[in-house]
Amino acid sequence: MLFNFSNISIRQKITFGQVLLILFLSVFLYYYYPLKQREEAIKGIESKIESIIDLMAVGVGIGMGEKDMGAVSEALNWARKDSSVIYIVVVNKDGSVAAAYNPEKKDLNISALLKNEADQNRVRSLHAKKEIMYKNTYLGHILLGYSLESMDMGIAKLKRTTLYICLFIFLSGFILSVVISTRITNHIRKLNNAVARITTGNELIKVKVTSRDEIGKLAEAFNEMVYKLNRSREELIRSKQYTENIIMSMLDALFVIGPDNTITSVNPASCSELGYAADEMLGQPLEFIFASKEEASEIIDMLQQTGEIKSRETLFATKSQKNIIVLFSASVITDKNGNRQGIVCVAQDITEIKEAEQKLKDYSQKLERTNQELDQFAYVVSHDLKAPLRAIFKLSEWIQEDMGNDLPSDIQKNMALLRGRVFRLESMINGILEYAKIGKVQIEAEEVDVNAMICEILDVLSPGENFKINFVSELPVLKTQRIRLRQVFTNLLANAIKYNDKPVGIIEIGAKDTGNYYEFTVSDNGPGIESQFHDKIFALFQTLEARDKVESTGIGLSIIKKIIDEQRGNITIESEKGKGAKFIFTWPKESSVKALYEV
Amino acid sequence: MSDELINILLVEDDEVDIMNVQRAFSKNKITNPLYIARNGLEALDIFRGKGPVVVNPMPKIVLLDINMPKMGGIEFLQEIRKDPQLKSLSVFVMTTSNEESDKIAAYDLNVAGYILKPLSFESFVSAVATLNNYWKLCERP
Repeated sequence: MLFNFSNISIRQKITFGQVLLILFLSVFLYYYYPLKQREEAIKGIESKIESIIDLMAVGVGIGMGEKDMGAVSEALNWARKDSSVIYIVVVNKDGSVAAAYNPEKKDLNISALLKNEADQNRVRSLHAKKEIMYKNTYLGHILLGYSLESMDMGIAKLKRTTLYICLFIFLSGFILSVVISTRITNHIRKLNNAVARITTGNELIKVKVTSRDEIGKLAEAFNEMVYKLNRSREELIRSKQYTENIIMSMLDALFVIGPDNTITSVNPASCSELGYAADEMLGQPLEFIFASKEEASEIIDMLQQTGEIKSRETLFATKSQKNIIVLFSASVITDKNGNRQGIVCVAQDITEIKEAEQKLKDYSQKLERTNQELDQFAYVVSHDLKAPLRAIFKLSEWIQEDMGNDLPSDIQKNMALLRGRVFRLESMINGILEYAKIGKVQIEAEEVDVNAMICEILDVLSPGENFKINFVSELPVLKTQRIRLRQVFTNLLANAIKYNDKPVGIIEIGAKDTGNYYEFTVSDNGPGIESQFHDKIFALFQTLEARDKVESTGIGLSIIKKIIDEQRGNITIESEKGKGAKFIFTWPKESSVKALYEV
Repeated sequence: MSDELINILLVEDDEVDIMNVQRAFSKNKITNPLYIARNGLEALDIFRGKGPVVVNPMPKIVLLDINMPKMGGIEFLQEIRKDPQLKSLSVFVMTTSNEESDKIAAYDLNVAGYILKPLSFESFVSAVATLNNYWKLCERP
């Protein structure tokens, strides 16, 4: 075989098979049909000859029996009607020719004919022999030769016709087979092409097959399969894109390390963190991104042992040879069978956080220093500044004492003024120190009975007979910094007493529970404060009266405000000129105060 | 009680404060000899017989300021409490320091009293009078 049969296409196979079949049929038709026809014709001719010769034998027998030769030749003449009769010979008993019809003057071998030896093949002619009997007397033989020429001519004509028919059948069969095979295989080829395109490219195409046969169903199934494939592929792409988007949008650097400990995948955050392009990092060993190679190998060892690393602070080296501090986490990726596929690493750049932390540390150290300086300052103020003040005070006293009554009264008054100013300055220094100390000294919270505390304060302040102090509501017992709350009440009550201008001073103290806070009120029937000064009174060294008129440092309310601010409470004043003043402040039930500059 | 007046050592750097004590003494008619040291080191020198000032017998009472140059009151206290010969000294702190830390440090070092110098002379005079009565009452080794 020149070609491998299995290699050729189905169409060619079908065409080839059909053509072979038709060819076989045609050849068979061409050879067999005329042959059969000829045999049939010969059979017909033979029976015809039989009947002719029988008829002749009867006719000739009568003629010979009655010695009427005329009848014999008449009978022979009758045979002339059939042009195919070649000869008719009547042979006597002795073998001599009694009569003959031989229009073509054929040379006849009578004895051979009698012995049935002549012309056994029936190619060109048929020969028949019959005994001539008359009244049971054997008279001789009659011999007849019949030409097959006209029959053969007919057969040949038939053969030609058959050939045409065969050729026609073959040609039309060939064309038909090509058409049919094309039609059958067309769908298959379509499927085949589709499969080829799907397998080579990413294209997903449908096949158009309209037939409802097996191929049609196959195509339908194929299309269904393509549809499902397409859908699952789209889903896969979508989920892959989703995952990729997550990785791409991550603000933390992500590295995937292959089994050979080289970087196989990075995200944009890792590029921007380290300053490399993705290509520059891919294929590099894991150590590449670490500032210390020893640490990198330590991390790899650790990962091999434990499988993960959580939030380890480490240094990465950027492209510009700068080290950045990162929070590094990594874990080993394993497949379903537990085989190691690589490592996924996430690193968060915490350089800024670290810098901020350092800044905060520096700042708090600075603050601590400032605080210490402030302490030092307070100490200096309280001793070194006060010492000369005392000296001035005492010296003026001594001068007055030593001079005795010799000192004129105006000088005595000036001396008194001098001491008054010194006294005021000392109070102001004390006030500043007190103000500065608030929040710096940590005071433990203790149980405070506000009612008892206020009685204590009033004892110290001793307002005098012309004051009426009313508790308008029950005062609570709470756990707080006693000294601070005491300072607030002392200053408020001292003010209420000091500035009162009525013959009978009335001071009312109340408290209200407001959840997390107590709201205390201290109100008086004093001169009141105009609303335009309500903000001013809490400022440092602000007084509403000349200091000479009412001795005041202007620091009391500032101290109150600072203490309450520190407790995260709130103080307000309700007052109008001439109508008394009402101070309302909130104080936490649970003290949350801590030393402000704790380091 | 012996008739002999006890020597008193005033450790004080401020001249006016020295005058203050001296005046208060004279006002209260306290006749005890008053020796002056201008800081802790000078006071130690007196006790150890090293300085130019020779005091005999050694002062039993010390009036001590806290804030002084060279050696402050607290340092001086620490020194004498370490010294077996000096650790029984009666020390009264007289200072302007109202600092909690100074008070605690002083009492930790066994002072006989911590007196804040008042602004007015009059109140100081009465304070010294009280002191005088107090140390007159006390028996000493």
